[in-house]
Amino acid sequence: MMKIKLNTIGTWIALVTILGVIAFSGCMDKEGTNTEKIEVEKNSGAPQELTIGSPWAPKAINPYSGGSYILQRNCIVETLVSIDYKGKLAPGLAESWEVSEDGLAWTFHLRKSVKFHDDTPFNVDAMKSSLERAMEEAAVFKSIPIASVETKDDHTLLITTKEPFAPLPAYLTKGESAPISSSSFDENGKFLEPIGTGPFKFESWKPKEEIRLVKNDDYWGTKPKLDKVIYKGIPEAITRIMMSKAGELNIAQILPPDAVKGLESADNIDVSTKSIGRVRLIGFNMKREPFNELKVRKAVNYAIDRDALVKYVLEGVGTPARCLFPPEFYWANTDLNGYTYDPEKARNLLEEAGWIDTDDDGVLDKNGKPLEITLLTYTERAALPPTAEMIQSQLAEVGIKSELKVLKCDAASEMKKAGEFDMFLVGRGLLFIPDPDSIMMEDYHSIHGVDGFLWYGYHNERVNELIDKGRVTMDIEERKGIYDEVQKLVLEDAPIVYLNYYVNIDAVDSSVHGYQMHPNEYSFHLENVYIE
Amino acid sequence: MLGYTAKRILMLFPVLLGISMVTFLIMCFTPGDPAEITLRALLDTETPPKEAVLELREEMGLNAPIHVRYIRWLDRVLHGDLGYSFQTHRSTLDEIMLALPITIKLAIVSMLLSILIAIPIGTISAIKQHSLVDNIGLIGSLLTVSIPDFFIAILLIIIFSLHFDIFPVAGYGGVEYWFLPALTLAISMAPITTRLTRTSMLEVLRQDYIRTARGKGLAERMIIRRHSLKNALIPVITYIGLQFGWLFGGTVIIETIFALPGIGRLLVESIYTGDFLVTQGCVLFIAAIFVFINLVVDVSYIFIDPRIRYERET
Repeated sequence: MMKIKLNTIGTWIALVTILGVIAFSGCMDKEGTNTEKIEVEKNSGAPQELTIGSPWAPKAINPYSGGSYILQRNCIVETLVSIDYKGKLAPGLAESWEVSEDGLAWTFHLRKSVKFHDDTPFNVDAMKSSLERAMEEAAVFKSIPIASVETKDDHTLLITTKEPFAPLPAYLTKGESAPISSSSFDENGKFLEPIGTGPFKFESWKPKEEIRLVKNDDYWGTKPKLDKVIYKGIPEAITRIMMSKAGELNIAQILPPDAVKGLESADNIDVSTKSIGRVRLIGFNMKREPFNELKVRKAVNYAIDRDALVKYVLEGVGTPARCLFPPEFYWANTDLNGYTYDPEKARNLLEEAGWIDTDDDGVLDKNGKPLEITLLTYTERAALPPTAEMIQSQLAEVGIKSELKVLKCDAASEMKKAGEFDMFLVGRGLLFIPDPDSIMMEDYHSIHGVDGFLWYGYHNERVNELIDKGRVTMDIEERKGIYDEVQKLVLEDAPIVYLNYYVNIDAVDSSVHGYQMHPNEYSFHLENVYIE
Repeated sequence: MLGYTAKRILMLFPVLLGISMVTFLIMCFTPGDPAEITLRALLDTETPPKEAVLELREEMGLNAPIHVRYIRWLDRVLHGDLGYSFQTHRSTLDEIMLALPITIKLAIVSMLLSILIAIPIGTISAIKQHSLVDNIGLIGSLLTVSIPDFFIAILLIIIFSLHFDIFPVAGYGGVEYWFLPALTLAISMAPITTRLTRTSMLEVLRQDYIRTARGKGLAERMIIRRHSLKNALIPVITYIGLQFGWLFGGTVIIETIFALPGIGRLLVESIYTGDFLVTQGCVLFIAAIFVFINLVVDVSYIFIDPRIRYERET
């Protein structure tokens, strides 16, 4: 048998030497790149390179299986319809579009002289095949009633729907529908790499780590100024903050509110905050006591101090909510003032509803039953549990005793589906499809209320009618009027407490200009970004 | 010994079967519909279209009863097909092969660093009991064993990256990227190894044969190197082996902080995103590695301690 001598001291010396060399070469490497960077910066007119760190790691680059968000956010692909900074639809690869009288036939006029990154022209055939592939393969298109996609001439696309469907253009903002060149696939139809029309071209990627982009000099719109972009997936917020401080990132995206103070003191980092289309809200279980009664729901709306929630839970980074949409959004009904903090009014309303503290224990009661409710929420969104705790103490002020149930998201939604809650606190995305129809159908229309998002039993015939009407009304101004009224009626019925809107926080290197997070995070619009 | 090794390798199969069954059951009893969870993560929305959920349920085969699903899965695994990820549409094997090399490198470097810290300190602490080194070793061990590894990681980043600017904060590239994550893991693994080395060494030093060795006038260095350390290391090696196995899958926090897409992160992310074929595949791989490392440790005793023989039991 082989006998190995454990010459310990010798082994240690060897190990120390090896690791020393590793560490030393580490320093050398780092310094090497540093000097390189400095030289690049000194030399003006040299390539502009931007590094972005985001929690959304690039998992895939195939737009039909999980890659569409990363491609669209990084401006590699573009869609027929785009979204402006107020969440309203705007021309994209389609210069304009119109719909027939009966609301079934949509004509999209495609932009001319657009080229794919492989220099092939973007035309109606390319658009048609990409759209058909998206309808076949992408989950988001499974629920829309498209009857056919036809080509009229080289730059006119005709889409017919089975029924009038006003949100159609909004669906055409989803990255899965973005045209990609046929050379993105090999002859067997296997996906190779994304070749789109956007201001940046795909260069290379490492799965779950980074994507590298180079500028597209032939871009049809605003010419990109950055030469290279490196987009990195950094899952941990603390790491993004420290990378930003160490100068390893130009933009550190999606940071927690408690990061703001620490970053504001750094000289070369600007903190960029921007409202995004997401609202924190509480849905009442209207199917059972006590929230089957309007007065009690209103009382809770008055009992909650929304300013205090923003100040203490969100460290001041957030906007108290008045209605469903943030005020800077096109679809917001800005005439509504919502509910303001008024505990006196809350107590009066509860008294009118018959809830009085007869036994002086601080908790209201009615017919011998105390006013005790369950407040359900989940841990995946960090601000929700502390929000729930604060609401618990605010409700206690007006005599409502609440039990908190803080679970994992999936366990919480099982409880919600079983109806075992009185109040459900959630973060709700508003413009997944950038059109009010989807959120209205899912959360406020009673036919979907049963298995919709909130599961809370809201039913108002007038609201149903309006939402149905909004779906088949093609004129945007008229639709705005319809959804304004829905927002007003919902506020009066108070099936929901709107708490506050999400604010996205990014740390941006002071030398970076022109960067702004998009309100529904669909594109970073890197063509506007430059380093100076 | 060959027979013993073969037997141990054969034992791997029932172990993996049991583990896969338990994981499968746990996954089935976790609340939530995997199809819905998958689409929520994939589309980045709370309410994926119902039509898509139904279609994916069909594709995932969720409509069949649990035992049918398990047998189907097992059948495919026996034919070498671990399925594919519903998040990326890459095969589970591809996903694991992307992640595993990262974790292997991290595990090896951190293990070496940890041994480098622990064994010298442990040995000196035993030889010079109650000395300054011993006391510092004790305090250091107590401190580092009590600090969670994510905190050590952040401290190291602040010191080495922000203050001295020697190593990059995070990412994956050249050797310089490995130092901080490996050092973090080494620091959190070293204390127990240190204490174990010390205890074991103290015990050996009190043995009669050490007294004999001293009595016959052998040099102290020789006694420590040849007679004590080698014997004292047997329990230490068992423990290091276990630690090494733990590193595969146990390093998820470090992999997350340092943005290393290793197997720990793959496993945890697959659980969060309802990607159950990847979860199953990762668990199989991690379990197999763990069992294999244990085997290697057991076999390595023979080289360290000639008294140990694995004879065929008759």
